[in-house]
Amino acid sequence: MPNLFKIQNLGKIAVGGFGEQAMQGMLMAMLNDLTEEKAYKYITDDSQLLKRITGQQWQHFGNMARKAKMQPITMETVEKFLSEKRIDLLSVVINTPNGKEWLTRQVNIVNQNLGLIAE
Amino acid sequence: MAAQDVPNPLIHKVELKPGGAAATKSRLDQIMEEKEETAARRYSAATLETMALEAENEARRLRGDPPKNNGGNGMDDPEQGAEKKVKVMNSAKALIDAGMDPADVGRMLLNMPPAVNTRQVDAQPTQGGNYVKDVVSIVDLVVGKREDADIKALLVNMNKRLESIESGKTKLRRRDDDDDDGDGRSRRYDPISLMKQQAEAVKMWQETLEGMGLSQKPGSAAGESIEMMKEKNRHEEQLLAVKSHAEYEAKLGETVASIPEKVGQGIGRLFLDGDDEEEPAAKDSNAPLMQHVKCECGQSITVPPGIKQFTCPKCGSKYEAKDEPEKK
Repeated sequence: MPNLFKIQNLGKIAVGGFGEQAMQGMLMAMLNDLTEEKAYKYITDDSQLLKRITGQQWQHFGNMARKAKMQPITMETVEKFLSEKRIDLLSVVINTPNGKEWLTRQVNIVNQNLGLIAE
Repeated sequence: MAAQDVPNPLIHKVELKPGGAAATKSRLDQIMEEKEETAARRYSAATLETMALEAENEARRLRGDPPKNNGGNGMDDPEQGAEKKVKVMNSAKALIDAGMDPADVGRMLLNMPPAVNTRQVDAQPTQGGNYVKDVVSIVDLVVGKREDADIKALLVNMNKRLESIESGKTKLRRRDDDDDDGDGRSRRYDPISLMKQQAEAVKMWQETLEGMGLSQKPGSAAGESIEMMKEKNRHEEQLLAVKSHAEYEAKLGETVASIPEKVGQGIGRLFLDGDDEEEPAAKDSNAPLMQHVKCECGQSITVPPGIKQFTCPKCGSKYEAKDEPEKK
């Protein structure tokens, strides 16, 4: 179970105007911890990357994101992060069938759970 | 004599004699001759009186009578010597009061030639008159008041000095070491050449001392004064402080900007903790290994198993693998 105290702090940061960066940082951290093999399996199994976040936590993050007036996370931002920090993971994503679609779905799931885009 | 009637002493008169060489006599020479004649006339009266006393004393000596004390060998009398000394001192004081250099007066009393002074030699007429006029006025003042026997010596010295001024040269008595001939006679030196020689000697000493590190020019080695160096250092310190403050603010901004992302990364890692048991790839020891191909751009391409066509994530080059990955 993630530390609720840190999640609340993330919410405060999001309200403070840095929410977009915080949420992107959270997504990037989860991508950054993936190995090449894990990413390949996530793509081939079409598994959800942020499946461990509960609905209550998503609701909490969504409230904070709305108060912070966050903008939706884009694929360009994620690809830029991967090309700078994890180009091997990007290579797996673009060279695995349906890899980019899987990543796009993960980004859309985050945006939908935060209430940044309509479901 | 009115002031406008006084001829310019700097203008020389030239007398042309048929069949002979041109004789030149300056107005200064004429003035000095007139002064000498006047002094000689006054001096001659005292001389005649002295000569009469000496003759009378000689006659007394031949007769066996005691000599008179008023003349002749009166210098032997201590009281007369003291009076003489007082008169000489009064004369010297009068010369000094009249504006003459005390050093020159002292040399004059010691019967020595005046010291080299190019300023006086090259002196130009000033508001109060020129140097020659001053000398003539002093001579008139002193001669008019003096009736002693040392007047002649003073006049002779003065005449010598004026001659040296006129000729632009000064006698310097150099004996012993400086006398190449060994005869001990005095020689004439050009004061300008002497000054040049002294200036060269001073320059030589200065360069020698600077070369030995014993003398430095004012200011720094770069020719800057101490004040300029202080100001330059103060500006450098201020610029360094401003630069350090700007760098500190930039780093602080970067740190603050990276805080939210780092917090988000930390929380994201929390969600991944203990995720291994749910990941099939972590448990499957027979999971296919990734292949790595070196792209022409230098980037290593991660190729998933079973992929025949792949793309470089950096440059976008496309490759196709058969048995071994080859470039399409």
